[in-house]
Amino acid sequence: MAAGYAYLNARVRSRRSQLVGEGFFQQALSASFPDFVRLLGETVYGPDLKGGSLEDVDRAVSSHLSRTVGDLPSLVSGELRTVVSLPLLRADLVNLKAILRGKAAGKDPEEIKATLVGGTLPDTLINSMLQASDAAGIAQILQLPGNPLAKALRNAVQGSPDLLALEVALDREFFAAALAKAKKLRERFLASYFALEVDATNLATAFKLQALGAPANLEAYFVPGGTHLSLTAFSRIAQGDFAAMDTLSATPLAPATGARTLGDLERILRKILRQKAHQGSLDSLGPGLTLDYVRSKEWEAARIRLLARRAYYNLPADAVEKEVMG
Amino acid sequence: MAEQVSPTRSTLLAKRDQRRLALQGADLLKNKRDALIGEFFALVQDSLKAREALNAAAKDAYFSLLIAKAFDTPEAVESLSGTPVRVHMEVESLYGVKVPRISAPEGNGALAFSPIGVGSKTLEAATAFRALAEAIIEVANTENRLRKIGEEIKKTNRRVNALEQITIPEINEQIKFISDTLDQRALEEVTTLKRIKAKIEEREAQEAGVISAHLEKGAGL
Repeated sequence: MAAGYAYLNARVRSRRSQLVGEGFFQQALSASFPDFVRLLGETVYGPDLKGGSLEDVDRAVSSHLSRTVGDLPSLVSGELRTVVSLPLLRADLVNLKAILRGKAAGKDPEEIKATLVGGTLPDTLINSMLQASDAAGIAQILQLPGNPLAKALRNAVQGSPDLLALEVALDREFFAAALAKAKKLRERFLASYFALEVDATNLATAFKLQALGAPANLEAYFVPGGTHLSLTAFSRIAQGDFAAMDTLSATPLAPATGARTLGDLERILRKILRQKAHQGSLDSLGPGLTLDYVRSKEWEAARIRLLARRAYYNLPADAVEKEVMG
Repeated sequence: MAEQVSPTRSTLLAKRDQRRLALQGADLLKNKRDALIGEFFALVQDSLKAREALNAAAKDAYFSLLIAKAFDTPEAVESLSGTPVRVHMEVESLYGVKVPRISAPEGNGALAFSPIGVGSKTLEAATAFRALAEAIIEVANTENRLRKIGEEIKKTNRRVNALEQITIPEINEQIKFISDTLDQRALEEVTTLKRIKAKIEEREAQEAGVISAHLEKGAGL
């Protein structure tokens, strides 16, 4: 496996050197839309940029991500491919939920397909799922041995829940299954990253539930497997008792203890997770470099999309500066 | 064109009743119009406030949407759309005008998707669009009521004008026509009776041998 990592990380290191520099974001923050498109054309996104509209920028970002991130599992084989696929499964989860939602709303397969993002699932499998009649049918089609998403869906559809309950169960099962898979693969860094991600997700969910008005069945929204945020603290935060945040003061989530709004919390959590991913990048014979690269590219794409929208709608720079530079 | 009426006493009485009814109706319609105008102006303020709230909600919602699309990808955010907003609708009577009352039922703001894996920006956009939908419902409610009341004011005004400018003058004319005709008939009747009375007196005088002075003159001798 060490030889596999050596090859993979060499490829990833080469791609990492092509990450868009901070200078671009500083310049783009006050650029007009035509100038923004011109600036973007001068970066690695240039070959993917086929026009000058906002949709063209979105398409360029998607196609660039699928070219430079989506193909990572194909660079390796065997167990290493499973390891590399793990950070990319979030896109599959988003797609699966979009299909379930589209089916529940009675949308056409073509209409649903237009809302899917690039993931690791093959097109033939996606097309079969789009033809299925219900969630149970989709679970029957998604029979991928060892795939956390397939396992999550199988568990979530039991008892034929309604769409919201199914989505909540799917999210919970997915995070738990991804963490279990990372542990099973004996990838300690990946497992600790996913455990921290579970904690961050739970903390963000508690804030969201608090903002929406805490429902009665709070534990249904709690993803098991995290190491720092307990169900009790989660429930207290979801009910508006922010004193429970103090239980996180001696953990990697300590910087988040002062956050009181969801926006602030998400910015801090994003920083914590990116720092954690960056720690893994120091191991040249581990999956941390790939994970850090994937997260860096996702963040880069989000910033480009945000700046494109700021320029397109001619918004003042300070409207998005906190998000882009955060 | 004026209606042909038979100039009889019963028609005259019926027409007088009609005129009384028309005058009462015009008064009632004027009162209704005044009440509707009062309601209309009270609603104009609500409608303007609802419009302002809609504009502010739309601005917030679309700004949240563009941020959400940047963070959670446009496709993922669009896949969350399409959840219908159910509205409660009832028809109520306002001074006899049927106006709809539209409202978003309690609990309509509940989240339609799992908050676990969704970014805060998307959640904010979903909440902002929920508020936008409620603002649209409020605008639909006030502007629809306003339109209905406005139409009813126009309709009531037309009715008042029709009564005051056409129906009542027409009835007055008919009453005048019938009265004139009846007066004329009464005059004719009096004249006829006078002539009959003169004839009877003349015959009685002849029978009694009294020579009528005006008959003497009228003999042409």
